[in-house]
Amino acid sequence: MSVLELRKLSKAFGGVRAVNEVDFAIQPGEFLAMIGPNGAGKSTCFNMINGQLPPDSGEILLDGQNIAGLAPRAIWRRGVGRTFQVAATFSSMTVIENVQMALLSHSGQTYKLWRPVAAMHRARALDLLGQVGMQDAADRPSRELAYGDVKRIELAIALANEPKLLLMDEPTAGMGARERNGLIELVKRLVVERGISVLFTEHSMDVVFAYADRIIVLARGRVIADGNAGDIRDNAKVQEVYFGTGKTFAEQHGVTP
Amino acid sequence: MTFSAFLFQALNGLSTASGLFFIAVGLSLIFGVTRIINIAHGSLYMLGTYIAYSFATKIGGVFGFWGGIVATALIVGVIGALIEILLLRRIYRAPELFQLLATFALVLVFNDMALWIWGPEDLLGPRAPGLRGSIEVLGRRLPEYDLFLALIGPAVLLILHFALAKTRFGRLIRAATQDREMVGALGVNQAILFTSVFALGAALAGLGGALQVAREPANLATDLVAIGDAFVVVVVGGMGSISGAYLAAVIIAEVKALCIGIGVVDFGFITVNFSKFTLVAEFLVMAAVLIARPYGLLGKPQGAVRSIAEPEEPIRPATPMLKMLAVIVLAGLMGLPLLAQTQPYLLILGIDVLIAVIFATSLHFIMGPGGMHSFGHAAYFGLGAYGAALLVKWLAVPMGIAIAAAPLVALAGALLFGWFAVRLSGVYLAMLTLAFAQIVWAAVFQWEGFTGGSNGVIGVWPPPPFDKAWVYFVLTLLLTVIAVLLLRRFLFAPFGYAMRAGRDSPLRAEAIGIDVKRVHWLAFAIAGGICGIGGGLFAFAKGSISPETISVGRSIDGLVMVLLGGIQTLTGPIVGGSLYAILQDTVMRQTEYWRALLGIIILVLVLAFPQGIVGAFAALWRKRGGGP
Repeated sequence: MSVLELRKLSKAFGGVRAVNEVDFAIQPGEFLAMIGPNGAGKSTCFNMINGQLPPDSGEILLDGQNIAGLAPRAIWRRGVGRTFQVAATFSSMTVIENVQMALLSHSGQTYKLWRPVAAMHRARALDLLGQVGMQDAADRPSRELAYGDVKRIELAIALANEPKLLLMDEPTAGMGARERNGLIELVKRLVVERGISVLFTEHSMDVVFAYADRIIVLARGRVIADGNAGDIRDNAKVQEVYFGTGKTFAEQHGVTP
Repeated sequence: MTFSAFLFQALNGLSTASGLFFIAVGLSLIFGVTRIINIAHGSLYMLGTYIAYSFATKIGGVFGFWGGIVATALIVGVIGALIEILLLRRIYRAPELFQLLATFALVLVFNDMALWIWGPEDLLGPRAPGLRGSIEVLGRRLPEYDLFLALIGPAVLLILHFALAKTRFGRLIRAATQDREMVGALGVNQAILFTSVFALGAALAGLGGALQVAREPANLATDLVAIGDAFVVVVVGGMGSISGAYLAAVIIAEVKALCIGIGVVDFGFITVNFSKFTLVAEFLVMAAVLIARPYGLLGKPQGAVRSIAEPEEPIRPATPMLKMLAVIVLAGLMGLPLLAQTQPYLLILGIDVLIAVIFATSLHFIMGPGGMHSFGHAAYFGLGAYGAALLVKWLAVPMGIAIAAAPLVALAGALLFGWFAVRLSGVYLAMLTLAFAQIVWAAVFQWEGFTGGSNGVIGVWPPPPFDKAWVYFVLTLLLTVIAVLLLRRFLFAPFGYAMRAGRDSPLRAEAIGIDVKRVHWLAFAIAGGICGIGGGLFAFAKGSISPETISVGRSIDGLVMVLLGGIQTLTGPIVGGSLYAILQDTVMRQTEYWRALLGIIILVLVLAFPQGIVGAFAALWRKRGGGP
């Protein structure tokens, strides 16, 4: 069974159909990229899956159960981790406290009033930080970190609830080329080890074509292509939405004097 | 009530609505453009009434009255422009809390200024020349002036509406309300825009106040009553919407008029006097609106204002030095009773200081780590105090039970109000908490049979051995230490972290499964409950309480204490609370004009020490230690 399946998912803003009857599915362990030009509906799609936007119609099935319209925290509790396009941490906490907070929430200890956090889940948090290579920075204030390191912390936080699905909105946005490949390699290694499925959006095509198992192309709210890197590269429709056909200009030239 | 009586009350309500509209619309406009909640707006309204009174009595006649009203609006507009140029312009970049405090400092200064110029007596102006009579409506006599007021509100609304829609100035105001950074980027001179909007808003408040001169006496308490009403109107109508302000003003005035109109109703098993519930009704309207539309009837969600506050250091457990300091201070306090023989006043001061520490620490709990700037923390202090005092008055319970019940009463109130408050954030939350506190105050004030009204509750003395000051001091010290340590413990526990996570980034906190609203709601309730302990102790320490216990002034005292100590440190509220209580008991008793003095202290604080005392020391410490 698919980990996640979208069925005729739709969302309109005013008269604009941002996402229009989108169907696709993610298999266990799959590294799936969602791409498309600006305004294709990627972010809207993403925000419906993570619960930030309620869909107008359609279903979002997580392990066969419809999660459409649930709150973000409820979706997280069902095993969906996420990272944000603009990474940030809880700025008043140290690096490890950020991870500890996610672990505390995962183990249902948010409302505990007595035991100090300092001693809770510290070993597990250090372990997670170790996996993203940030163990040495554990007790530094998180707001002092460089942006690339913040991305790594976010990843550690996203892994804290042992997700079966990880949603990553432009994971490499705002990073340099070398950093970018390093981060995606790290993500790929960690999710393969754990058998986590990943759905990510991305603007840099080198990352997409080098790492994604499968690629979905969205344009004007619809899925226009779905396949591996080779299929997508050769797909005429995809070339059209990204590069245009040249016809638009010719037609205009004919009409306007 | 007959139908005609109902209609008559409704007509009467419209004239009240105009008054509410004038004050609320200026507040709303100023907030829309400058993002500053001008608490001094009520003071401008009050000054309007006083200045118009002077014109109407000193010059007199048609010109003195009507010309005076116009002149008053202009004068108050100029005062508004001066406030903007001399004070607010310096603090647009400060955290919003400081802006609120600065405008509150002006409330204090203006209040004492009015006291100095016009004296403490209520001053009723002459009746309006030309509109002295009354006309017969539905068999009752309606003063012509009330009818005039009912009409002038919508007239000004129309003028404003067209000015905003058609003129360049109006377009700039609307643009700035939507995105003031963009307006700045487009090369609009913000300084002039802000000053003129502030002047316009102030002039409207002054006009509103001036128009009341023939109807209500000028009174020194008007400023806070007016601002409380204006907050409710603005929250209900929606920030930045002038039509919303009028709509809300009409709804609230009509609901109040209806309550008065209904009067006493006998339900058979219970007799309810609805005219006593005008303010509770106001609260119910606001609650209903906020549940259905969190941004008010005609308001739109405001774009997030970028937080400009300094980032906060992670919290660390107390260092050995701090622990030692705490032990020394505690030992010193335990030794205080030994001085009681020679300096009896020291113990009284000590009790006041400790109660202030409970008040400030509990407020800091939600303001600092919770990021919820409550402007009505006195409500929970008052609920605790009245809870304890009324139990003694009506059920004659022993002191132990009364003091134990105080936090529970406060907790119940905080659970109720907090549920609404956490649905909002930033200035909306500040205004809502202030409005709640005003409602508790009004309920206590109006429900005379139960609470003693303005006379309060007397004879709440502690039984032996607590009647000795030193014994009561030790009890207060014990409870204070427990309260402070409890709150500190909560902050280091997962709950405290979840609270800070929700403040640092609500979106991210939700994305890791934290129910931010619920966490903040419970934090609000905890802070309220702990504050109630202070209230209970206060009642027995003073032996009597009055509605003053719940006044806005006390809520603001709490804010000053927290900011004085520094909001980003855990020891800040303890230092701030102590220092403030000592200042209040010593320096401020020396002068009749202590409000103005306090206002000036706040202004100095806001302009010179934005990090608070402990914060400034901590920064100095870091500079010394970490610098080259």
